[in-house]
This record gives sequence, C-alpha cells and structure tokens, in this order.
Amino acid sequence: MLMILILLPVAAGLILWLLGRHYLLSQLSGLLFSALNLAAALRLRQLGAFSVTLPVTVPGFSLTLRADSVSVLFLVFAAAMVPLLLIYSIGFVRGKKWGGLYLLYLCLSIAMVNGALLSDDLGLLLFFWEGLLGTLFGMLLLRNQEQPRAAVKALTVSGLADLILMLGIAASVYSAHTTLMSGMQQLPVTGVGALGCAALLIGALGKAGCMPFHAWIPLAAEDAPTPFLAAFPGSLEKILGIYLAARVVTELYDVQPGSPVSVIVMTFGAATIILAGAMALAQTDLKRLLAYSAVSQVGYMVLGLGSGLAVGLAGAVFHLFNHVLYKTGLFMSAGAVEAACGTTDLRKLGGLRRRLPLTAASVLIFGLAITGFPGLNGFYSKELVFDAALKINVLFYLAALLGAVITAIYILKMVRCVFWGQPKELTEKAALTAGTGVSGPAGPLAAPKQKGDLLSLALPQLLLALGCVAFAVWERPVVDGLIGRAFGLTERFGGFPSSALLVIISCLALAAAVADHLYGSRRGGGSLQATEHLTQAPGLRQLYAAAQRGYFDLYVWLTGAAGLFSRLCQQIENAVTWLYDTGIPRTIFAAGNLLSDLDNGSLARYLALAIVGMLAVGLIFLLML
Amino acid sequence: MNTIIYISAGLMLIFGVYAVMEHSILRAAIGLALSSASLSVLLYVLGAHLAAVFELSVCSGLVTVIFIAGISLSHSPKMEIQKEYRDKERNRQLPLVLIGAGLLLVILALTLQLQTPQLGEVAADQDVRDVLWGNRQADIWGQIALILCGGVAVAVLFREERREKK
Amino acid sequence: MTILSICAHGFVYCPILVVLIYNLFNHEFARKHFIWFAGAGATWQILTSAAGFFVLHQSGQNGYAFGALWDPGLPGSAYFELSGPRFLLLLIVGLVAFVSVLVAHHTVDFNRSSYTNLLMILVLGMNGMLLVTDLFSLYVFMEVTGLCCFIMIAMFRSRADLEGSFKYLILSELSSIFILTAVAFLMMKTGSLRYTDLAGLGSRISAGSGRLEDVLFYAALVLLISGFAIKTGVVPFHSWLPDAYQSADTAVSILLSGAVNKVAGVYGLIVVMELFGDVAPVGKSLAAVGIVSIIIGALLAVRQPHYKRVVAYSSVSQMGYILLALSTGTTLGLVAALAHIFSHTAFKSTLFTNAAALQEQAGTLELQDLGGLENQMPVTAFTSIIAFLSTAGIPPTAGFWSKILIILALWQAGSPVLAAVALIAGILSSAYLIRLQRTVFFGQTRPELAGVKEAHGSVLTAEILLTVITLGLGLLYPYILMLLHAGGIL
Repeated sequence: MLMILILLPVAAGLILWLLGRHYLLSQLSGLLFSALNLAAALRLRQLGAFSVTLPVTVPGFSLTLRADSVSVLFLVFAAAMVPLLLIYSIGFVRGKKWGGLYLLYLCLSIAMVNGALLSDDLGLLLFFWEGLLGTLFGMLLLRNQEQPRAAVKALTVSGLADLILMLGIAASVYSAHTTLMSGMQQLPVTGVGALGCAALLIGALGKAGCMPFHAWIPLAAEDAPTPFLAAFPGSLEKILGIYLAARVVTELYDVQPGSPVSVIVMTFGAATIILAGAMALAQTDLKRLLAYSAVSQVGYMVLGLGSGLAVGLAGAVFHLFNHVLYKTGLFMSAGAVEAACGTTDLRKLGGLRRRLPLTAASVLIFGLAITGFPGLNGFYSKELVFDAALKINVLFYLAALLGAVITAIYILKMVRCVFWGQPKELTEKAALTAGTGVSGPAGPLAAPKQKGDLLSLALPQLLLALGCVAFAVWERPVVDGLIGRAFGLTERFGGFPSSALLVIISCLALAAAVADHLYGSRRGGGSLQATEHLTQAPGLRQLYAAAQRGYFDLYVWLTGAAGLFSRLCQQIENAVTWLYDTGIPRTIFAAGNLLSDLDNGSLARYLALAIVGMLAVGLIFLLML
Repeated sequence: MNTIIYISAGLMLIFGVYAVMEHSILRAAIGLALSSASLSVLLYVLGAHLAAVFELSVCSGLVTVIFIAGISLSHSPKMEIQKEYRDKERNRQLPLVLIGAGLLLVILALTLQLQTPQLGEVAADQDVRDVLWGNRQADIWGQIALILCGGVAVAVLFREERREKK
Repeated sequence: MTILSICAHGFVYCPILVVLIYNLFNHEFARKHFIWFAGAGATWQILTSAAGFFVLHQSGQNGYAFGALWDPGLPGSAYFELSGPRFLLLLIVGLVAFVSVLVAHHTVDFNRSSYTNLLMILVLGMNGMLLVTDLFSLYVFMEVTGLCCFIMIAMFRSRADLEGSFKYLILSELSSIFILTAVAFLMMKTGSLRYTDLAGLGSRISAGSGRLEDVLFYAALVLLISGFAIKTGVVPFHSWLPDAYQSADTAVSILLSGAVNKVAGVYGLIVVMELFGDVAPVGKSLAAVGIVSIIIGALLAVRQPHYKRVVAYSSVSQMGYILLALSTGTTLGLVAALAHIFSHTAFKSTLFTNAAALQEQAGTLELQDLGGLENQMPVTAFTSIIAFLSTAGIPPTAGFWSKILIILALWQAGSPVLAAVALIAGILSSAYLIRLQRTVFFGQTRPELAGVKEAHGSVLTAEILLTVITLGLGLLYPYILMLLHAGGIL
C-alpha cells in the first residue's frame, strides 16, 4: 500500500513521458493517475497508523515506511494538489519540446514527496529528500542547459541546506540510537540533541525556502517554466519542509517555548517575513515578486512552528495549506498572464481584467487571502500565528504585523498593475500577434484551437480559489478536525479569533497598507510607482542597492568563499601535483634502483642477506623477551 | 664404540675442511658428501637411527647428485668457477676462523657451566624397526618420495648430459 | 571405506599411483599424452579436497587421522591428519598443478615425462607437508618438495636454469639447516616433535630462566621462522626468488609461486604460529618481516626490466601481506591469510600464465621489447588487468576482499598502524602493476610485434579459468563473509 504511493507516480511519469504529444491522452492519464493517487492517500487515512519495513537490508538502516496521522494529513493534502498541478502543467507544456521530460520529472518529484512523507527511517527520508533536489535540478536544467545558473544556484543553496539536514540526522541518530523517527520521542534539546534539533530544523525550513536558503527562488522565477514555480516553491517543497519541521517540533524533539532553539528559529522566521517582503516591494517582475512573496510567507510558518506552542503549530500548518492554495494559484495566474501577453514585466502589463476575467477574479481572491483580509482563509491562519508570536515576545508579533502590512502593499501594487490601469503598448502588440486572442470571451489565450489550454490553465486557478473560500468557510473543521486531530492537539483553535483587539489591529494594518498605497500611487504617479517612496526612502535605498549587488545573498557569499577556497586549493593542487608527478615517482624509482643494485645476483650476498635476516629475527626475540 | 665416534667425527671434520678449502667445486661437492656420510655414521652410532638414514639419503645422496649434475651441466664448467674461487684468497683463513669459533664455544660452555639438556622421555631405546615402521610411517612415505625423486633426478639430469655430449 | 577415507588416502597414494601408471606406458606415448595423466592427478586432488571438506564438515568432526600404510595406533607415531584449513591449501595445490599442466602443454617439450613424474612427486611432497602431524615429518616432506623444485628448475639445462636452480638449492639448504637445527633443539627440549606435544610449549617456558635448553628453545623459534621465511621468499630472505622464477620454465614458475612457496613456506609459518603463537616475539617478528617485505618488494618490483621478475617481486610483496595477517595470531588473521593465499594463487598464476602466453606468442619477456599488445592479445590483456586489480586490491575481485580481511584482522588485533601501512602500500603495488600493464599491453604496437596473435589452446583456457575464479570469488565473497560472521569470526 505504501509502496503504491511511491511507485504509482513513477509509473505515471513514465507513461506521461511516453505519451508525449498526445495531449488529450496525457490529460486523461494525468487525471486518472492523480485520482488514483488521491484515492490511495485517502484510503491510507482510513487505515490508520501502520508501518512497513522493506525486505531489503542496508547496513545501518532499516528501510521502514510508516503512515501515521501527521504524514497522512500532509500526504492527502499533497495528493489533493497533484491533479491541479498536473492538469496545469500538461496544459502549459503542450507542444513544447521538453514537455515530456518535464512531466516525468514532475511525477518523479511527486513520488519523492510521497516517499519522504512516508519514510519512518531518517536515512530513507534523506534519500527521497535528495531525490527531490535531483528532480528539481533536472527541471531547472530543462530550459537552460547552456546557462544553468538557476539550477546551479538551487543545487548549491539547497544542497547546503541538505548538508545541514544530514548533520542533523547524524546528530539525532547519534543521540537517539535509532534511525527510526518513530523511535525518537521528545529527545531533550541539549548538547548533541540541540545541534541535531537545530540542524534538522534549518535543513527542513531551508527546503521550505526560509532565508537565507531562498536565494535560488527569485532566479528560478526568471528562468524556469511557470508550472515549475507553482509546483516547487509554491507547493511541494513547502509541504515537505514544513512537514519535517512540524515533526521535529512536535515529536522528535522536546522544543519548549522560549528555549534558545525556539527563539533562534523564530528570529529566522521574522527576518524572512520582513526581508523577503521588503525585497518583494522592489520587484518589477510579476514572477520575481511572487517568488519573494512565497519566501516571505514561509516566515509565518517558521514563526508559528518555532514558537513551540500548540496554537503556533496549528497556525503554521494551516497557513501552509492556505499558502499552498493561494500561492500556487498566484503562480498559475502569473503563468496565465505570461501565456496571454508573453511577458510578466509589471512595467509592460496592465488592464488585463477584461481580457482575463477568470484569472482576475481568482487573483483577487488569492490576493485577499494572502493579505489576510478578514473572512478569508489567510486571515485565520495569520491570526493564529500572531497569537503564538505575541505569546512568546511582542517583538515577533510586531515583525509579523509589519510583514502583513508589507504583504498587503505589494499585493495591492501587483493587482493594480496587472489588472487595472491602461494596457501598455507591448500588451497590445502581443495581443495582435495572438491574432483572434482578444475576441475570446474570457481567460488566457482564447483562440478556439487552444480550448484545452483555456480549460487546463483556468480551471486549476478557479478550483484553488474555490479551495481558498472553502477553507475560509469550513475553517473550523479544517483547523480542529483535520490538523488538530492529526497532531493530537487538545485545545480548539478554530472559529473567529477570540481576541477582538488583535483583529482590530490587523484590520488597521491593512487599512494602513491601503493608505500607503494610495499615497504612494499619488506621489509616484501611478500604481507601478506605488512602492517607490518606500524603496527610495533614505537608508532603505542603500539597503536595496546592497541587496541588488547580492550582499544579502547566501549564494554570493558561498561563491565568494568558494573563490577564495579554490585559489587556496589551486596552490595545494600545484604542490600535490608536483609531489605526484615528480616527488613520489622519483623517490620510488630511486629507492627501487638502489635496492635493485643491492640484489646484484651474487650468491654470497644472498646468503649474507638471509643470515642477516635471521639475526634480525633473533634481535626481535632478544628485545622482546 | 667410542673409537667409532671419534673416528667418524674426525673424518667429518677433515672432509668438511676439505670441502671448504678445495678449489675444484666438483671435488668440494664430493667432500661435502663424504662429510655428510661420516655424520650419518656418527648419528647412527649415537642412537639417532632415523636421522642417520635420512642424512645419508638426502644430504650425502641426493643433494650431492644435484650439486654434481649442476656443476657438470653448466656450459662453462670448472674454469670460470674455479677462477672465481682462486681470486678469493681469504678463504684460506676460513677453517682457522671456524676452528677458533668452535674452541671459543667450548670454553664458554665450560666456564659458564651450562646445564646439558635432558633428553626427553620418549627414549631412543626402542627397537629400530618399531621406530621406523610403527611410529614414523609418514616419514617412510616421504622417504619413498625422495627415492623416486632421486631416480627421476638422475634420469633427467644425466640423460640430458649424455645427449649433450653426443 | 568411507568417502572421507578414500579422499584422505588419495592425497597420499594418488600421486605415486599416477607416477607408477604413467611410467608403464612407452616413452613416446607418454610424452604425447602427459596432459591426461598429470591432469587427472590434479583433477583428482581438486575434487577430493572439495569433497573431503564437505564430508568432514557434514560429519562434524574436527579432523580425520589416518596412516599411510596402516592405521595409526601406536603412541607417539607420526600419522597424517586432515583438518579444516588444510583443505583449502590442498585445493590450491590441486588447482595450481592443474594450471601448470595446462601451461606445460605449450611450454614443455622434451622433458614432458620427467615433468609429469616430478609434478606428481611435488604434489605428494606438498600434500605430505599439509597432512603430517609431526615437525620432523614436515621437514622430510619439505625436502621432497624442495628437491623436486631444484630438478624442475634445472631440468631444461640452460645456463640460466642452472644458475637459478643453484641459487635456490643453496638458499634452500640454508633453510633446511635452520629448520633441522631448530627441530633438533626442540627435540632436545621435549623429546617429541608431534604438534600436540609441542603446542603451548611457549607458555611453559619463562624467558628469564637462563637455562640452556630454554635459550635453545627460543633459538629454535628464530631458526624455524628464518627457515620458513627463506622458503616463503620474504625480504630479506627473498633473493633467490626472482632468479629462480625468471630462469625456470613458466609452468614451473606457476608451481613455485602458486603452491610451493605457500605450502613449504607460509604453511610452515602457519604451523609455527599455531604451535608457538603465544610467544609474543613470534608474531612480532612475522609482522616485521611482513611489513618490510611489502614495502621493499613493491619498491623492487617497480624497476625490474623483465616481466617475470616484476611478478616475482610482486610475490615477495604479497607474501608480506600474508605474513602480516598471520602475525595477528587471531582466527580472523588466519582466515585472512588463507583468503589472501587463495586470491594470490589465482591472480599470480594468471600473471604467470600470461607470461607463458607472451613468451609463446611474442617470443620475449623483456619489457623493453614488448608494447601495445592490447589489440593482438585482447584476452590476455583483459585477464592481466583483472589480475592486476586483484593484486592491487580493487573490487570486485577476490584480492579486494582478502586484503580487506587482512586489514580488518590487523585492526581487530590492535595494530591500526600496520593496517594503515598495509593500506598505503597498496598504492605502491598499483604503481608497478600499472607500469607493467602499460609497457606490455597499452600504447603503440611495436612494428616487430605486429604479427603476434592471441594465445590459444590450453594456455588460453588456463587464463580464462583463473580469471573466472578471481572474479567469481570476488562476487562470492560477501557470502563467505556472512559465513564468517555467522561463525563469530568477524
């Protein structure tokens, strides 16, 4: 049963790859596969907790798969996302040369995610974890084989996070004396345990895209196909990272609120929210903006998880689900915009609400959700996180609030730039080249021959928007029924936030964001310039410039360090080469010659040698007795 | 009995010195064989029957055969090897050194009054036949192999020589 | 008559029987069909050693004692005994004899009848060494072995043969003197030379007593070790070995390196370790000789101008590994030594068989006259690579596992430094092997070698057989390791 969930996506990937150009068949088999996948996940949910050990022995590890409430929760959610991702991807890659491979990689990634969610053994988990990195690398390479800068950057940065994760696994295994997660229960966070816990969390959150491991995401936003963004930074990696982090906090380690590890993690979360949000403010490209926004939102989850409080946990996981819904949706919308206009540059877009009404409507819902507009799902999860942050330290709360304001500002700017205002000239041009595109009733690329695209690109967005609304309406069953029960939480966090004061403060923050936007638009002379008064403000401007030059970029630090290191290595290499090419052979040959000269074929010398040998053995006896 | 011991010991010494001093390597080999033969007589008289038989067959028999075969078969017989030997005049002092060393050992043994070792409990007073056929059948088998080996050696090495001469 | 007794007596009787039957036939016939007689003898040895092992293992006994002529019964009698580890060495003897016969089919011409006779007596001598339970009998059979070897080296009556044989003879006699003296000293101490009487003697003697017989006991150990070390051919007792290997016919070289120096030399040291392993300096001196041998042997091999000399010095180096494993005195050490003996037999015989092929096809073994034979002799080049990999201890060959076992044994016995040195010295062995492979097989084909063809017939068969053994064992080893693990040795 557990193996099915891993093997099924692999098989599906192969089928999709082979089907290649048969669009309809691909869609159908994609649907069929995702339905099977979802069915299997749901069936697992009915079965309850159980584990399977594979009959293959690897020394030091037992390949154990285990399904329990937590992993099944994430598994089902991931399985629910799969059909949308697949439909959208198949639609997007239609007719592209690398499409088949892309789908294969995507399905393999799903297999890896399923595997990682089901692994009980940390070694096995690491295998799937790295497998995901491998498929990610492959997908980033697809379109940019000549200049794979995003791929290399992702591999470096994510690889570093994975190395830290490995360290964490090693430390945890060392302190728990088992490689099974089910065998690690509430390890104390001291000594090696602290190292293990911190490293595991950093590795997990690094996967989710927390600062400073986010650096590759904006770059990927420029280089990679949009469905990739929806699939990886948008949903799969977040699900996986937060899953492991949640496990670490709730099961593996005994993380107490206010403990050093907790405070460090929360500081990272807060920094991620504000810094990534601030970077999003300055972006003029839709996809880059969304990428930074995705990073920023991770901060909330980190903040919630790091608090070590039940309310934070519930908030973080719920925020993850919400985030996956709306951020995947936003990326899909960006893809739709790109498909319609051929660009995602905010400076060239505008007035698309007429051409793409469905997209516009869903983006509106996503936007409201992400800003935490009261009544939508993002609002509930954010309030939970705020609650947790406030309980730890008011500074964290303020940071989270500031993040909310920033989020609202850039989302407002984004929505207004893209869907309101006047279409820019390039949009017109693209529309003209698209031929009949303008006359279509709704949605992107409304040319009749591309109805499949219309359906496959617009439908997932609408479904996701519906999901957002549904999560808002049935917020209580989701929080308490699903998440709360999965983690075994005793308290109930569903329903409208109890503290009216916090809600009012949040609303005021949103109002402040709107006011700021209006002020900025007026001052800058348009919605596009709405954030310039912030990015050009004295002090902040220098910071942005520094960021532009990569001073805050882990990758730049890494490559700088690597440059120094490689120069050092070059020197060592030269010395070693000399040693190998000249030094050692010369020594060996000289020794060989010398010894050969000693063995000159004289019998007398042979006899003498043998007797000397005998005497030497005698000497050993004399010395030892 | 003692006379035989002394005579054979003396012969062994004389042949040994002869073997070392002789310039012709062929004669030296024969001297070695004779020395070995005297040793086997000595061993037999002293009661080590098996060792005596063995010494006779292997050391004075086969080894000498091979020595001689080797020497006579080498393509530049005698001359070269003898020349080498003549060059090494210091060999003349070798017997003196050996005898001196032996004397030194005896003096050492006498002055230190080292205990003479006790013979083990499995005494040599058993019948030779019993010892040979009862206790040491593995060695008999080895002896058979040695004799076979010697036969083949003679056949191979000397037949080849004959062919060479023709 | 049980199967076991047939197998056991076969080891002693069969070679002599073959000699007798073989000489019944007329000379020309015998010369023509020697391969069937010698091959049958060798095959019998291989089959009975394998069958005997399983039968003995099934019966659950430790050993099986038997007499050559009649049953052992008299106290103090020297008799033969079959037991576990001996089977492996018996198997090696059979295997090497078989390969040697295959090679001799091509290389030996005139002396085929003598070769067959001597081979069988040699096998008998080695079987005897492995089966006896008495130090003196061991010495007797060692002499048999040694004598056969002198004659076999000298048989081809070229000057080089005689020189090699003569050197071997002299050094061997030195070793005989050492061992015989040692035997005499031990006899003086105990009055019996049976293994059972000698075992544990070391613990009953205190070093400080100063009595002559105790001093002589230690002197005997020194002499025994030196004597067997000469036969093994380890530094500094190795000097005869390259000359003998180089001058002997290749079929004889295979016997010498594959079986004789293991049975006459290493097995003797195994016996010494079994009997006197509790005397600390025994192990230590073996380790010292072993490590010196590994390094100096490899260094010497690097600069040799002749194919067989390189391989001979490589033997010196590999014997060092075996002694190193033995020196630990643990069960794992013994197992590792036996494993390496077997791997070494396989790969060293491959190299010598390749030498026979090169000699036959290219007409020379001087390295400066060889080069670029890869295309002309693909099979030989390939088997040579596999043998090199095994020598250097690179997976998936048998040599890798046996070297790993040796290093494990050293580690387990608490000598990590030796383990590290052994590991690093492996690099040296790759150095001379790569040099050999490059000069002989890789690179530009020399114009005068353009007409060279692949080896054929029984030489090719032997090459392939040995390579299959090396690779097959390499793949099978994990299973063997599991057995060892189950037996609690690892």
